[in-house]
Amino acid sequence: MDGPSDDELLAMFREGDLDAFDALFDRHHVDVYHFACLMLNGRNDAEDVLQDTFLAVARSARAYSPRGRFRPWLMRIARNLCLNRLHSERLRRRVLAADGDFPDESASGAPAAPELLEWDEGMRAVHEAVRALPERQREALALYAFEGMTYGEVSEALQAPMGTVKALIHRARAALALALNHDQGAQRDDV
Amino acid sequence: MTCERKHEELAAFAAGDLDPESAAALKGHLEGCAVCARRLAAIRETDARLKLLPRLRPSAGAMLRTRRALNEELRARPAPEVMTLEEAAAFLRVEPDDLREAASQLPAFEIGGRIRIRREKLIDWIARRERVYARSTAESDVAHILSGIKWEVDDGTNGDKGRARAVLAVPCRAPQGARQHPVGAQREQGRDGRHGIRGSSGPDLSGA
Repeated sequence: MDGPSDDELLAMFREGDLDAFDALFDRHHVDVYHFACLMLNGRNDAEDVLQDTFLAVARSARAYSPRGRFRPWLMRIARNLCLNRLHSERLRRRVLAADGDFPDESASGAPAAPELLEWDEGMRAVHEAVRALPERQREALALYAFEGMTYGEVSEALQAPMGTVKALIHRARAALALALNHDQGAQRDDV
Repeated sequence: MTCERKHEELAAFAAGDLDPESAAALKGHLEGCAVCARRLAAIRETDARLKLLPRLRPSAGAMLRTRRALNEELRARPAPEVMTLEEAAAFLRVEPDDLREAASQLPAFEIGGRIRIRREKLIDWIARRERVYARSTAESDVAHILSGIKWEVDDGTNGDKGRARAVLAVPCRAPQGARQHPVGAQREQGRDGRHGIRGSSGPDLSGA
């Protein structure tokens, strides 16, 4: 990595260097946003999580202990914010359902990211298949496959044992292969 | 045609995460199982497609909003850990000159002739000043009450009120090892007009 490490930038920020915080934002905002897009139902929520994540970083910079684990720490904040939103959304749906007003699942959090419209069908299919994974598999796979994190970093971000993380990722990849194979009209085998 | 082998095991094999013994066993199985061989190929293809998937990026509008919110937050964040005298003055909402006059009492250190103050120490110092101020004003109130009574203590100066309050005051000393700045001891005055603590000749602020 060129320039100061994440830990060094955060230390500089803690000493009052606002440019160091900008550098951290520039370096990691796509990771956070992309992860939030995979976890949440729409662009608006993902944008909110992006903002809230970095606000949380600014507010709790002092709580971070510099051990070269900035990215897992950052992604754990983003993941917790995503889970909070998903939890609130589920509660809202439950209340609406209890009132007899059944929300349209597909309309939640719209609109989707505009880039998706520019992607070819194959790419959109992979994206949608990832989005359709169970939550735990989705978050583990997103961190591992898209954010380039190691099993150890994913384990730290999700606060889950390494064995659990590996199992989640392997299960997710297998499920994706099944789903995508199935979409292409191939024979679907038992899981 | 089906196979009982779990897909998850094939995914672990594709990622190189199986232990050598399990990997060798699965390799042997793959040679005779077309179903698993096809599943493994599908997993590998999916892994490759995952790697090619572009990353979503926030819109220009979202970036603008986020940067604006962050800027507001950062501007409002606490003062830096180590402050100049001017930053400390801004932090305390006083004029730098006022703080300069109290420099001998500040929990400061000096590098290259420039004063630096740690925020935490400054906050502790404020807390101590608050305690001393509260005690001092309470004593002032007592002295005020006592002023209506005939003063009977003979301290060698006819027991006048000023000296009586001086007896109540805590002796002052500068922080140990601190550099003494040529600062005049000036009496501070509270908003209510009552006298507060003294400057360098006031109560001890270095303890606690």
